[in-house]
Amino acid sequence: MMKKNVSAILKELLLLDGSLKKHEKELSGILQEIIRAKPEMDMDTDFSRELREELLDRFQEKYGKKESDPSSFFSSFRFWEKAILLTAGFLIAFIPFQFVNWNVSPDKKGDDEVTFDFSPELVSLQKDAFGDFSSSPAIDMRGMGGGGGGADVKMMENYSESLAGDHYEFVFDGEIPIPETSVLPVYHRVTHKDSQQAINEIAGSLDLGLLDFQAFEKSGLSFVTFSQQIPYGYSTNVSLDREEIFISPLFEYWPNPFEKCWGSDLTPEESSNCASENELTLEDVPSDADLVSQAEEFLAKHGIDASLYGTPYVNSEWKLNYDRTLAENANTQPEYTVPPYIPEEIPVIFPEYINETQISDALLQKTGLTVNVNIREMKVSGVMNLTTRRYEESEYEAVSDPEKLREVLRKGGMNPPYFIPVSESEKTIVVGKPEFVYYKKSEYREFTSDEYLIPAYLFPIEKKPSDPFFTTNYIIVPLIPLEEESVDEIPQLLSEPDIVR
Amino acid sequence: MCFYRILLLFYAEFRILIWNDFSITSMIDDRVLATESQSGNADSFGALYDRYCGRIFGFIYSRIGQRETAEDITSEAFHKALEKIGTYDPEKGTFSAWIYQIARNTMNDHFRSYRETQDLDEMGDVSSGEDIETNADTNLRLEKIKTFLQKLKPDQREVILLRVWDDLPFREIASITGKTEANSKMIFGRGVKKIKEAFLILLLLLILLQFS
Repeated sequence: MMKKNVSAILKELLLLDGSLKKHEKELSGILQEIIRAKPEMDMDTDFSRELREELLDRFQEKYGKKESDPSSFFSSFRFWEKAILLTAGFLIAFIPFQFVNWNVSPDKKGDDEVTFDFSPELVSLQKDAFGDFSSSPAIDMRGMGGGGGGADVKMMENYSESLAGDHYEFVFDGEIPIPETSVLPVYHRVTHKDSQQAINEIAGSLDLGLLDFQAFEKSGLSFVTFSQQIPYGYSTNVSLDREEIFISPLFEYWPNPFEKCWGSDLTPEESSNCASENELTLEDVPSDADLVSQAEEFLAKHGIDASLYGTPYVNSEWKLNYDRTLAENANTQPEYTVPPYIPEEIPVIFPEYINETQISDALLQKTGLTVNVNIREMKVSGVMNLTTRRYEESEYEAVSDPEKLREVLRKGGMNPPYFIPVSESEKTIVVGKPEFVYYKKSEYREFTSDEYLIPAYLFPIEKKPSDPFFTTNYIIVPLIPLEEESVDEIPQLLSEPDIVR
Repeated sequence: MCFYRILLLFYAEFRILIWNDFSITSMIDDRVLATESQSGNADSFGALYDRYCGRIFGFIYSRIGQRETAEDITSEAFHKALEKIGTYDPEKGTFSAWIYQIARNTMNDHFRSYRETQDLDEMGDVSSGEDIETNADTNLRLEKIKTFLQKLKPDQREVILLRVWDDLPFREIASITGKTEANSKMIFGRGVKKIKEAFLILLLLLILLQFS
């Protein structure tokens, strides 16, 4: 930002007085110093809100009440209902003229501020409202473990049987605390079905001349994409049925640093050299503070309320792989070394909480809104996990026997690691003191998935085994009863060399 | 329900829709919001407030370095804007320039009543008052920049800070300071030239301050 300001001001200066050109570098330094010296402080939100209320009261006192009529049709809808109806309006207005041209850009002049209502909303239900977790497939252990879901489950079970007992075991040396209350809430994310139905009825009634939607029985509008066709433009994808937004770069409008490396006029060697020259280096990686600041700036500019999430942090998993590659290269002949990989994008995570409790998933101890920063361009390149947070809440009996928790922990909990131990001495892994979290679990059905938040203990793995493929950082143990057989049947994959064999 | 009826409803209610929590108000030009405010629409005034409160607070805080005083002046400036919104003429300039002008005048009034000084000459000195809430870093920065900018005439300093700190275009700077755009550019150019001439001394000063 500062760089941009300095460069714009310098340009102006040179236009005003060309003789300054030879002092460009010094002037740039001075301008940077002036900008840096600006005392800055964020406006206190309470003060801002109170002043706003005070001003609007005075405004109405002075000019009389003249604002949106609260009884009007639209004001009875919440954000998503409005978004859906707004989309319907656009569709009805534009489709007859631009057949299925959804290229409606939200691009605007000036400062972007699109505010979404993503604050949590809880709907209390009776006890055990989501069915019996201990016997239903709601918590299907198959497919857990951060990506095993796509594998052939039967095959994995066979492997599991053949390898019975040959897997990691996790132990906690201390006393496992039992939950303080006899029941614990479980959450189930839900969407605003009524408004979804309304939009489907509207979309279903369209007769476009070229195509009669009514002929497509039970057709509904589920997805809208906004394409920002300018340099560094974004593709903003709105899933209306899942009430989720994800933003990605519109790649054709972003520079491709390797484009010049693949011309037909280049020899393979030239292409390879060009690609190597353009690889990122450690010096190109911005500081965590800069990455977070970039992400925060983007969210603020686009009206995404970061205050709904916890303190952001940079996910530096890539650095572990980088260091591992360096270590491996040190023990490898030069011709077989692999250049360590630095990603073009680094994620900044804004952790999500429910009832002040951290949410974890199979991959991240603190999961939440994810903002990817393209470090080459130092621009935000994507936003993920931006969803409405309307949850049904239902209480379930909590596990009251610490030994049962210990047994589930021993077998790897809800996220057992993929691979079998490399050596017998590394079979037992000691874990640290548990932390109470909510574990985000998706239950996949045919074409949809339901998201549950399960109360659980997260046991950090303090010392990982030497197996480079062991990437698990913690073990999640649910605090509501699960089907014991399911836990026993946790499939264990073979280590990669075994599969190859 | 016939979809044409829904279409009509959509158009009729479109403005209401976007002025509620969907907040596409940011896509609406300031002048439209200001005109709506003049006709008594509180939502429009609220949207203008949302758009400018942070910037105006930042503008004032950066000159004063005290949160509470900056809040007081921000509050006063917006109250003045509310009372005077009927006098804003979109033909004469942007809303941004208008609100900054109010904030600047309010701040100058504050300085005058504080120690009978004019404009921003005493920038930074107020932070030695009793109600100070600045930290050491802010004070150091204020000191550095004060030393740095003392070489300039007040109008040069003001134009440079509006351009460099507040990132305002010369057109708006001209409206805020009551000068012409060309004059603002000239003042800016001369100010920077003066800085350039004093560059070596300033650089030494900055280095000394950095290590002092």
